Amino acid sequence: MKIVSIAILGKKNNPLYVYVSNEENKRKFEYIIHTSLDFFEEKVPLISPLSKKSTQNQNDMYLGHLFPTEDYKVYGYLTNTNYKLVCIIDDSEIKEQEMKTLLNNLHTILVDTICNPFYITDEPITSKTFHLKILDLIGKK
Amino acid sequence: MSVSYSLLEQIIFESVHYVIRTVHSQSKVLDPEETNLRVKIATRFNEKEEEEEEEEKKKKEKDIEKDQDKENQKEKENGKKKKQENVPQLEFISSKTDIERNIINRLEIIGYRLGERTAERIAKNKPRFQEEVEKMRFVAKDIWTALFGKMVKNLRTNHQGKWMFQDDDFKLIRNISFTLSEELQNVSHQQNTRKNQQKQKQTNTTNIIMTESQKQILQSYLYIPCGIIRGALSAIGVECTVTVICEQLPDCVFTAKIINKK
Repeated sequence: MKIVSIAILGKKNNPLYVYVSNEENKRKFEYIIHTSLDFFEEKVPLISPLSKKSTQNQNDMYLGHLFPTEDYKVYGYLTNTNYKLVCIIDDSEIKEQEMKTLLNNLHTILVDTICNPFYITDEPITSKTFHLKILDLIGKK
Repeated sequence: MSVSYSLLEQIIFESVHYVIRTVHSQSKVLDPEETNLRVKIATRFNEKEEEEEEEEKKKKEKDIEKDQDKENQKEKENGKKKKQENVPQLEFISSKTDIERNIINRLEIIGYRLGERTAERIAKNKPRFQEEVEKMRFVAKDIWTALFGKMVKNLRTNHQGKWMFQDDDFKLIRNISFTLSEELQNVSHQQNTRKNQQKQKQTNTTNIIMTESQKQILQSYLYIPCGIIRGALSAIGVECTVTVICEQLPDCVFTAKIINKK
């Protein structure tokens, strides 16, 4: 299981942070992330009041029309404060629980960064420690 | 995550003192050795100085009136009719200078950022907010307990976008005191009413009624909490403007007016 890309989008759908494991395909993954925004809006009103906060929208985006050999899975996570976390995975075998914990940890890292008094909200995250923490998170998997 | 309340209070009080110091340094030169700010504030709003200011204002108004009379006479001589403009007279009666407004803005932004960040941390473990009521309740309960150790006493709405948070015993201004002479004035003012005596017996707190000038000073301590509420709500996704009314000392009412974008 390989995490291909992780992205954090702000309240106005502006990208705050994009990590891509393979720099060559960066544009492609940015495009995937952009299209996943529609799915966030789709899934939100369908959530019942009793469900938990993490919206796990599992959209299998088969990029048949671009690269017939490749397929990715895109997972999303919408926080209470309207931050969107997107995670793109290479393989097709992953447990839901693993993904939940991954995105949860990502959320804690994000909250830590936001609480930094030198961080201005709605600006791209340029902190090195943030980047290292994300690499740690991915490296464990 | 527990916040140390004394530290928070310290930070807020120090920032407000800094602000008050800068505001008053515009009018007077402060001694660097002078550390007792409360005495300074009390003397600033002394009765004598108020009288002097009023006298100055009256003089200025009289001068302007004289000038306007001369102009009017000239115009009548020329035979032209002109509407009387009231604007130049009113400029001397402005309640807040640009500097004060700038400082108020900065205080509010401090509170705004604080509110945003605490809301992020606390909302992480909360289920999704479905309605406006839940969002307001989140601020009233969770953020208030995290920052001040207790919940808001009363949360009301007028169902038209206005929400009122009433706190009986607001922590940040609870221990504010006045000079001895002022306190005696306040207490004697208030002891005469039976209602207040009954209240005191019930709540065990002395609610102090303040004069207008004291209320103005108190207002400067309340900009940061206004910002906190605004920041927390905007983090959740509710844009609003927050004002505060404080009649008796520990009893505050914060009013949040929601801005509807249509």
